[in-house]
Amino acid sequence: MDLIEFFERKNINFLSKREEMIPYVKDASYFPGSLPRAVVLPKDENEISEVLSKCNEENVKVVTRGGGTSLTGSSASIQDSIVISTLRLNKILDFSGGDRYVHAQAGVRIDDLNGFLQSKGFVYPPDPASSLASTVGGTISTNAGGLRGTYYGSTKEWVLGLGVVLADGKIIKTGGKVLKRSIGYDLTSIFIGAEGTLGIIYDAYLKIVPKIERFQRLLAFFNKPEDLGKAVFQLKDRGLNPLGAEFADKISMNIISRISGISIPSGSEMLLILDIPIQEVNEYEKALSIIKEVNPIDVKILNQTESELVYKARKGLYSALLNEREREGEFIIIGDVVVPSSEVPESLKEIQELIKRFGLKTSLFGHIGDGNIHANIFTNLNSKEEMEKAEKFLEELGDVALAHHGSVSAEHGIGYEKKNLLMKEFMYKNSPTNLDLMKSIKRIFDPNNILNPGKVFDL
Amino acid sequence: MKESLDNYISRCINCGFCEAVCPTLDAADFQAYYGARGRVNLAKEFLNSSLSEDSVINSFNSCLHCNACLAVCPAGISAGEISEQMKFLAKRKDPLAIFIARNIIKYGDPLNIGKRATFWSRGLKFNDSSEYLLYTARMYQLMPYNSAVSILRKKFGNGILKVFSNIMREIGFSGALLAPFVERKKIEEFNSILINIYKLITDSGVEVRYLGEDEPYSGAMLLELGFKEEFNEYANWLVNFFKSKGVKKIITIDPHTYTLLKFQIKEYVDFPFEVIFYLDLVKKEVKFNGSITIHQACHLERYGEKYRKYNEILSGTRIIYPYHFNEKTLCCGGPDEVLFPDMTDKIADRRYQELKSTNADYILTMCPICYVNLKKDDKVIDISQFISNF
Repeated sequence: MDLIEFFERKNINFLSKREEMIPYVKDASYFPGSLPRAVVLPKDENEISEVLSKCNEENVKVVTRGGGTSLTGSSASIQDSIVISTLRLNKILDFSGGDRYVHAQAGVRIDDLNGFLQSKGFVYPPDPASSLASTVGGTISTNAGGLRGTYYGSTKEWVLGLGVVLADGKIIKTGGKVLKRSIGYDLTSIFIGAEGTLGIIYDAYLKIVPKIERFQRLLAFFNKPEDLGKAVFQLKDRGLNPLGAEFADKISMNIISRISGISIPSGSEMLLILDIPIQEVNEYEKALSIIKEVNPIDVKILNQTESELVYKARKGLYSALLNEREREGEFIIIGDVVVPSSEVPESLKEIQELIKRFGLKTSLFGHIGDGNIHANIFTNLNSKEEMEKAEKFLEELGDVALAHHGSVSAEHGIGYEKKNLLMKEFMYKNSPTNLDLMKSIKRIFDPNNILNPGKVFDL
Repeated sequence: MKESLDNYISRCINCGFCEAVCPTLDAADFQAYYGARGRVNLAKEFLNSSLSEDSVINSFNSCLHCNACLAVCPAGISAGEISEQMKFLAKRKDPLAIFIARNIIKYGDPLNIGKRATFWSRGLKFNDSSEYLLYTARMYQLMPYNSAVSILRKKFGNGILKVFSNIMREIGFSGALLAPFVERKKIEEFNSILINIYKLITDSGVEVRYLGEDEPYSGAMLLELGFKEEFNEYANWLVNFFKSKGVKKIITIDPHTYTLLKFQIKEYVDFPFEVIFYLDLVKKEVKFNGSITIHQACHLERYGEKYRKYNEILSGTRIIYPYHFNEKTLCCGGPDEVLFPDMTDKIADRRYQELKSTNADYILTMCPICYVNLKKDDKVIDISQFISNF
């Protein structure tokens, strides 16, 4: 019995016409993807189990897809594979403010989850820029970060337990409702950031916190990137914990100014947007005095309206950058590296030099509070020469991060895009065994290599 | 559309934001073929000649063109606009769509309800020399007949309806044929809404004229169903018709007609008339001690402007907004009623549940199509009814 007959017999919702499957080929990355054999839309973990068991038996590749927002190709479809869409698994199963958890299915979108939680005064903190479309399962699978990563950390800090279907169809449950658990190997962690290569997450227990309602937003303008980096480090080094700390280079700063109407003092090359929670003491005054020590051109304390306008401008920054595209076929490839806060000043300087050397139109912004730098490269996808140049740039961007004790991937995962960089990171640490361990783990969980093969690393 | 479809589509970065807010995706049990991003992908493939018209047309026909996608798109594109353009390109049209289009062209009315469209105005005073034309575009009046079509569809199935429409479009059709299936109380309900609207305007000191049986439909459905050339011709006719009647200022009373005449029609024809939404003229502040929720119309939120004049009128009332509000308002599913009625039912039900969950005393709509689809209990009322009553 072939797969299609199997799905029919089991009454599993599937699509197999070309026109029905085309929307599942690509994700938000620049990787083209290939047409799958079928797309399955399971209604629960039992159907996922049946599909995986059959695919494992028949040695058919399986790609899991949530919101399809990956920037590195993690959810791009593979030729002749079965794509499993988790979007029908869209229920919030349980919630307890007192116990500080929410139990949600994998296909629940992050904004919908937070819409539900906020009505109850809580928040699930990971807030990737894709939160409108990205899902619980997808963001766990890529260990997504976000604008508030400096305060809350990335997704891995917030996952209490998972329901997972393994490659052979076995259903396992890890962790659960409690905030701590010490029971040997942490099986929950193994699936975080695994990009669907070890199993398919069908639901998750997630940690939640009361929403922080009050904070003060400040803007600080700098002439030198290293001064901006120093300001952020000093803030953190002296005990402040910003709720968010975003930065923007001149291209991005001009856009923010245009959208928010806030003027830029002359000579400004870098902008820092800082959110300081207001607790017992006026911590933002302390923040202000620290920033003033690091030669800012100007510092502005925003009122409520300005604060909202700047937030809107920052959230819309990527959109606005897209409108700066000038040529047909132009795409923005987003570089995503991270360095320790203390290394931000020097890293930013080196990245700017790199941009100059490559001569690629590139704008920098990112979540500088946790050292996460995004280099947005305007690239013509149809030009082999430009693509090679962009890839080389990304490689050297990774080198800068590694030289400063950081990582080649902060929050977007590896997918197809960073397989070489992943190896490079392990080599740089003189720890190639990491990759061997990863491969061994993969072989245990997925001996037939059916789950998202060719992503993260090649076996 | 000012730029080429190819160029427009090439700006898409496939981020999936549009898919996350597209009401038809959920209604189609998450088949991406019926989602906004799927439509962009399919249009791309169709333009590359890798897919046939037959294989993709349902994807575009099912688009509500509610522009929820546009409101969230980082690249500023609308899958609704793409769907509309793709419908224009399609050579084969649905028999029911052809039937409606022919009625519009032949009778100036999708269901040729004739003088039934004027019954609401009996006994009301109009001023033929007023500079303001009250233009109902027959929208509220058509709703009971639309509902009758839905009843027939449920009773006999879509297939029979299509055969029937094939015959009718050849031999001619009159709304009188639907009369036995139209609920009298529905006619009265919609007529009373029209009377409320008339009174709100005239009580605010504005005298209006009304064209009675001569008043034509706006032509909006020609665009929605993919008849671009026919709409172009109809729009020209409409302009000349208004000119021949000496019209200068047009008061529209439903969002579809308002945005069509205010924004969309200008891509096709010079439209030299001032277009007003009736709430602009209403001088009344509502005082209500309870609470309301509002189902904001897609056309008033995401078509060229954010129309929120009603906030002034309702400023003395406690408004509990539903989860999707303002530019994120959720479509009622109405535009799919002709070709994908099941989808309409699911979308309307989802929206109704969302509005109901606010526990407000009243659920206000401001579009006759939304009203029909969301009218699942007595709490749902047209905004004109609410303003009139309080």
